[in-house]
Amino acid sequence: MKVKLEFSGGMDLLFGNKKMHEVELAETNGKRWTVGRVIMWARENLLTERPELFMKGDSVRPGILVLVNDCDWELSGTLDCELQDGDTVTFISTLHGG
Amino acid sequence: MRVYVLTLGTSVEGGGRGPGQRAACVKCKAAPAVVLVRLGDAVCSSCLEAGVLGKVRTAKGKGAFLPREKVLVAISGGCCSLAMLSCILSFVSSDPTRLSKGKVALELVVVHIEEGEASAGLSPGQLEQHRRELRAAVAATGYSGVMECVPLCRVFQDGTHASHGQQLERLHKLVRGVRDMTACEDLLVHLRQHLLLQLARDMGCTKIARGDCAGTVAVHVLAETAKGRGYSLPADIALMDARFGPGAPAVVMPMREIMHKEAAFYCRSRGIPAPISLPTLPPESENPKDSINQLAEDFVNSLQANLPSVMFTVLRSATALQTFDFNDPEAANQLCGASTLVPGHNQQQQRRQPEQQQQQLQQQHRGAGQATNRHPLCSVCSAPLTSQEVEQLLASAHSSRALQTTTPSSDQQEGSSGSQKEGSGGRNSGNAPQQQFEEPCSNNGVLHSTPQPHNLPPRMPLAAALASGSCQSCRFYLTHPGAPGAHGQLIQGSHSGDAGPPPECDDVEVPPACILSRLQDLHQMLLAAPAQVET
Repeated sequence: MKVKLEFSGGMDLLFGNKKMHEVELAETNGKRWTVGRVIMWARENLLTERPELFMKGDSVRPGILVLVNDCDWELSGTLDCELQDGDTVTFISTLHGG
Repeated sequence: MRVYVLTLGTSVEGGGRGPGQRAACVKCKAAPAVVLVRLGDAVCSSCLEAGVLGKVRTAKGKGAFLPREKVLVAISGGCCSLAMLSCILSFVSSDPTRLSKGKVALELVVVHIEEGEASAGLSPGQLEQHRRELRAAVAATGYSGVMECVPLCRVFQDGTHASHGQQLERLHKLVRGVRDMTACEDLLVHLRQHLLLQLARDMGCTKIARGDCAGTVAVHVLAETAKGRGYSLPADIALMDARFGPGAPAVVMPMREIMHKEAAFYCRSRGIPAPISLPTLPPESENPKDSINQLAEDFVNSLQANLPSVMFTVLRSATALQTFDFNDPEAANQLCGASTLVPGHNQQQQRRQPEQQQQQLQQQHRGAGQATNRHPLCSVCSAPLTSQEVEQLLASAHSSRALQTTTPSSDQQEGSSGSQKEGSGGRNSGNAPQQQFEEPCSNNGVLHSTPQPHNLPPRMPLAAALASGSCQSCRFYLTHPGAPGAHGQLIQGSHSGDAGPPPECDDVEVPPACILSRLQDLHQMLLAAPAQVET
C-alpha cells in the first residue's frame, strides 16, 4: 500500500530535510494501517533526529496538526483513522507559530 | 456511516472515512467538513475561511484599522501572520477614492525580522533561499508589494554608524550573556518589539499588526502569571495597545481569538504555503524545562489535546482582567494618531501628517508635563509600572539627585536612537556613546554635560542604573546577583554571576540604545511631573 507523508512547518528537518516522503507499507494479514500505526512506523523508519519533537507517547506531540487527504484527522478518529492506498498524511507543526 | 459528536467537545468519532462518509459542515450544511474547530464544530473550508475572515473584520470594526492608516504588518512566516495578511488584504481597497462597501483604504508595509544569521549562522545564500520561500508565501496572500527583511541586530542601530557585523556581534554578546533561558527568550521578545516599533516609527506607520493567535495569548497568560507579571498582563493581551504614548504606533492583534489550527487550515485552503519555519534566537535547549515559556506552551498544548476548551477558558479568564486606558480602542487611536487622519487630503500630506501629529502631541504632553496619556513603562520590558514601583523609582531618583555631582568635563552623551528627545539639553550622537557605559568608572559616569534633574549619580553600577527605571520583576533580575539568571546576565555579561557583588565595570555588556533611551525618558517623565503620574 502506497501512502504519501508530507511534513511541513519545520518538521521536515526531523525527517531528513525532505518535505514529501512516498512510502510503501507492507500489507500485514488482518492488521489495517491506521494513522497511529503509520506514525509509529515513521518514527522507526523515517525520523532522523529528536523523536521527542515528533511524538509524545503513542501519538504526535501536542501542537502538531495531522491531516488525512487534507482533512482534519479529528474528523476521522485521529489515531484510529484507517488509511487506504494513495492516501496522503500531512503533518503541520503549529508550535512557535504566529 | 453515523458520526457522533460528543458533548464535551472531544473529537468526532467515526470509523473509516471517505468522501461519501464525511459529515456535512455544521454551518452551511452543504459541503463536506474538513476541519474540527472551536468546541466540536466540523466545518468546510469555505466556512472556515469565512470564520477566520469574520474575526479579523470584527477587529477592524472595533477600531483596529482606520481609514487612511499606514499599517506595518509583521510576518514571522507562521500560519497566523500570513493568514492575517491575507485577511487584511481582503478588505483593503486599492483605490482610496472609490471605496466599496466594507473596504478601507490602508497602506500596508510588510516586514519580516530575520534571525537566521544570528541564530544559525546562515550564509547569505541560505538567507536568500529563506527569503525566497517567505516572499512566495507572502505573494500567495495577494500582497503585491515588497516585503522588507530586517535583521534583528538592527535594533542596535543608533547614531554611531556601527556596521552590520558590529551590530551582529553586539547581539551575540547580549544573547550569550543571558544564561537563563526564560530571560533570554523574554529579552529577545522585547528586542523584536523594540525593532518593530522603531521601524514603524521610521516609516510613519500608525499601527503595527501582529499575528499572535489564541494559543500564543493563552501561553503568554500562563507564562507571565508564573513570572509574577500579572499587573501588566491585561495590557499585553488586549486587541489594541497604545502604551508607547502619543505619536507612537499602536499594536493591534486581530488574530488573538483565532486558533492556530484555524489559521493553518485557512492558509492551506487559500493556497498559501505556510508555515515557513525559520531559525530564530535563542538556540533551542534540549530540555524544555529550562524555560517557563516552553513549559507553558507544552502545558497548554497538552491540555488542549484532551480538552479543547482549555484555551478559551484561559482567554476568558484573562480578558476579565481590567485593561489599561491605552487599551481602549478610541483612546488608542487618538494616541497613535490614526483618528486624526482626515480623508480627502492627498497622500503626501497624510504621510507627513502622522509625523507632525507626533511632534505636536509630544510637545504638548512633554511641555505640560502631563503623563496621563503616557503610562510610565519599564525601560526593559515595557510593562506598565504599578503605583508602588513608580513611588520607589521616584524615591531613588530624588535621592540620586541629592548625590549627583556635576562634571563639565565629559562631553559624551547617549546617542539618540531616533525617538523624541526634546528639552534634554542638546544631546549629540557623540563618538561611540556606548563607551561611557562600558567604562562608567573611567569617566565620571555623568550622562550629560549639563546638569539635568534626571542625571543618574556618578559611579552607579549599570545594573543599578537600569534598575532605577524598571519594573519590580526586571529590577529583581537586574540587581540580584544570585538571581537564577534573567536580565541580571544582561548586565553581568559573561561574568559568572553565580554569587557575589556587582561586577567590575569593564566587564559590562551594553544593552541596546533603545532600552537606555527609554530609561532616560522614564526618568525625565517621572521627575518632570511626579504628581500627575497616573496610578
